[in-house]
Amino acid sequence: MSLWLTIVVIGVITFGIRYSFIGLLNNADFPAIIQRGLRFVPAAVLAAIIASDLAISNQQIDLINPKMAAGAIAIIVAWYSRQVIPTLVAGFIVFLLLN
Amino acid sequence: MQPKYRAWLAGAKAELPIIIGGIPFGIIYGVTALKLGLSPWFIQAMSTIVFGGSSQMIIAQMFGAFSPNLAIILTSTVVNLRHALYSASLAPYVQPLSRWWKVLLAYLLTDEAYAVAITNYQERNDPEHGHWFFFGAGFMLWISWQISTAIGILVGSQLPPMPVLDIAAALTFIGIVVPILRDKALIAAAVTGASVAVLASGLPYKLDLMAAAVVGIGVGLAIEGKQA
Repeated sequence: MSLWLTIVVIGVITFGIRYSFIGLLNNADFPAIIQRGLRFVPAAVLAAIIASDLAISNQQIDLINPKMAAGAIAIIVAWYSRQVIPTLVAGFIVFLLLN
Repeated sequence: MQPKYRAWLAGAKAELPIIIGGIPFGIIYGVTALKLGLSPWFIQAMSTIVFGGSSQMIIAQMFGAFSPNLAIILTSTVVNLRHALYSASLAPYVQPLSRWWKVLLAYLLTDEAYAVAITNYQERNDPEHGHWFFFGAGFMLWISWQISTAIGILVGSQLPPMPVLDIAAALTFIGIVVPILRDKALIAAAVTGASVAVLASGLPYKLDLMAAAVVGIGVGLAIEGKQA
C-alpha cells in the first residue's frame, strides 16, 4: 500500500470517527444515562487536555514549573473574569516573569 | 449584518486565542515531518486530509521509521478516538441540520473547535445560529493549520523557538472551561479529568485523555446522583 493510500484511509477513518454520532444517530436513540453523561464531556476532556499540557514535560510528571504557575493564576482570573482574554494575558505574564 | 454571519464571525473570533498556540504547533509539524524525509506536498496534504495535529505528528514519525501501513492506520485511529466523544456531545445540537452541514462540521471537528463550539451551544441559547458559530471557529482553525503547516515546510527551521506560545492553547482552554463549571458535579468531573490525565500520562496514543474523559464523566454522574 502506498503512502498516499494510507493517508487517504486514515483521513476517511478520522472523518468517520468525527461524523459517527453527529451523522448517524438520532438524539432520541441515546439512553438517558448517556444523555446525562454527555453534559460532563467538555469539563472532563478540556480539563484533561489542560492538565497534560501544563503538568507533563518530556513524558514526565512535573507539577512545579512556570507552566503550572501560569495555569494556576489563569484559573483564578478565569473564575472571576469569566473571559478568555484576561485569562490568557494573566497566564502569559506569569509565565514570562518566571522564565 | 445578518445574524448568521455575525455568529460565524463570533466563532472565528473565539477561536483566535487558541490559534496563537496552534500556529507554532503547525510549524513544528511541518519542520519535523520534513526532517523525517516526507515530501512537502505529502506533508501539506496530510494537514488537509487528516486535519488532526497530534495524529499527524505520530503518523509522520511512524512513516519516518518505516512502520507498517496497517500499524500507522490503527495507531492514528486510536489517537483520534476521542473525537467520537465530541461527536456524541455535539450530536443533540446539530441534529436538525442538513446532511451537508453535518459533514462540514464533522470534518472541522477538532479539540480546538469543539472547545468553543460546545461551550457556545451550552452557554448561549442561540440554537438557530450555533452551527454558524461552530463553522466560523472550525474554519479559522483549519485555515491557520494549513498556513502554519506551509510556513513550517518553507521556513520553519529558520524561526526561533518561542516557548511562551506553547501554553497559549492550555490557557485559552482554562478561559473556556472554568466559567462553565457552575455546579459541584461539573467541578468534580473537571478535577477528576485533570487528575486522571496526569496519572495516566504514561498511556500512549492519547488514551490518557480517553481514560480521563470516562472517569471524569463517571464521577460527575455519581456526584450529580447524590445531590438529586
